[in-house]
Amino acid sequence: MGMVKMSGIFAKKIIPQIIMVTVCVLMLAEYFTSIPGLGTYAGIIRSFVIIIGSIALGLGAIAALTYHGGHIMRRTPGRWLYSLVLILGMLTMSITGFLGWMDQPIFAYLWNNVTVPAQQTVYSLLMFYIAFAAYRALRATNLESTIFTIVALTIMVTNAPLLETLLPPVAEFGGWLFQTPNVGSARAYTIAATVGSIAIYVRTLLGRELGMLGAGKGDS
Amino acid sequence: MVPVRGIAKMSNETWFTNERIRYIINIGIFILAIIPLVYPFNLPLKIGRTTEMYYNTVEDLNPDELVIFYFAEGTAQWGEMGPPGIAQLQQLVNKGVNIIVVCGTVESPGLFDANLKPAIDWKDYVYGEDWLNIGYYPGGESFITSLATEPQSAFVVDTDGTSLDSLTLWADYQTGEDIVLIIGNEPSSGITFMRQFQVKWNTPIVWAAPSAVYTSSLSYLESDQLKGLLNSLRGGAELEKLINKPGRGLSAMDALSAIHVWVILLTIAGNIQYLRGRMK
Repeated sequence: MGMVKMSGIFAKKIIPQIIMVTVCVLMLAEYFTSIPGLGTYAGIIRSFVIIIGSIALGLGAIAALTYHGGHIMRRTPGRWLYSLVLILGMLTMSITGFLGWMDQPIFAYLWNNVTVPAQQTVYSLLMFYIAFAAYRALRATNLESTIFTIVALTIMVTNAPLLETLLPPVAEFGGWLFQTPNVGSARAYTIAATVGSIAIYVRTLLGRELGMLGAGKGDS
Repeated sequence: MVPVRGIAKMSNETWFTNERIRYIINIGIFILAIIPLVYPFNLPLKIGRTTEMYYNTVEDLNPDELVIFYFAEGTAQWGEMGPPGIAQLQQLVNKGVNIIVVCGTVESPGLFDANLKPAIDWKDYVYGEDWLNIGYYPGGESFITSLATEPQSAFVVDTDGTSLDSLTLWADYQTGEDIVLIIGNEPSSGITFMRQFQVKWNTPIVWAAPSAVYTSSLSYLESDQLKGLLNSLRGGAELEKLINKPGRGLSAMDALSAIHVWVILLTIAGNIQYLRGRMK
């Protein structure tokens, strides 16, 4: 039993960890040094990533078919019909796309008249929510929210051509907000995020970051 | 119907309910978006500093220089990022540079073929000689790295499945060093291109970003990592004006102004209601 458990840990944790650390060191060395030959191996690994990415797209399609196919088979109330539409849409676009991409009339018709307008419609609905949110949330209830509301109004004036023309000083103040406090704070969080990623990278190299291997709390 | 907090309380009226206010707001947006389409206001448009920097950087290119046009938008963003994309590519064609088009999302090859390409006046450009489209490859930053360091070995076919070796322009592109400028259109600041091209060869980058990303991208402009930046639809409209090719960007500016005014009025109305409620 002990041997079986050990070999399981070896296959699930140690081998992936060795691969991970090796790849990390190789990519790091290739990026920061000019050691001859490293580029070839790094290039092979990058090609692997692209190939695995392509496989993942196919895997995603299979997963979607399995998941939604299950709902159709079980006639899940309130869901199976949507799943059916999804699968039919996916198959139609895939088959017609393979048959001739934009030269295939059905694919081009569905792309131009369903995919693009439908996605844009969903995205555009955000405008209605944002307008309602502006009415509800931008309230000068205390000092912080007053500053927040003034800044929001100023940026709106800066962004709208009509208001920018009518209220040049406000637009100028908006420009200053963009250039000075905004850039400063953006740099602060960019640097903080970068330091955080370096920390995660070092933990990965040391074998202390096991989240991607499916390790939970208590695992080591 | 749920009364809006603070409003019904202060006025003892139940007319101002969430649903009714939402109707008023939505109808207002709808009307204000429609009116400029029927009766354009033709409001003046001021060219922003970041757009001017973008325009001047591209204008400095010489004919036949090799550039990468990286297009990585999804269909949902086409309304916002399509007009800048069209203006960006048109300016490159106007300059007569050689263009390698690279798509960055699963949807972008479709958008490019069906929506972006037909909107361009290609002049005497010949596919394979003056421009080519390698399409979309998965892999994220690994893809960009391969594009920078080993394009000839990593990529075999273009977006239509044609062998890249059969396209004469492809032979001109051996490594990222051959690229004179990177022109991007993506909801990011172009950081992957900074890491994989700029760090190695100091390749200049200009970018078009949605408004939500524009603010954070400004820090890269100030540090000179970006040579120019387009602010979403507004930036696209400004570029359309500069290259003298009015399109959907400019026509959308009136609606943009009108809806911004509406949102400002709503914010003011909301605050007046709130203050009235507090005073009572």
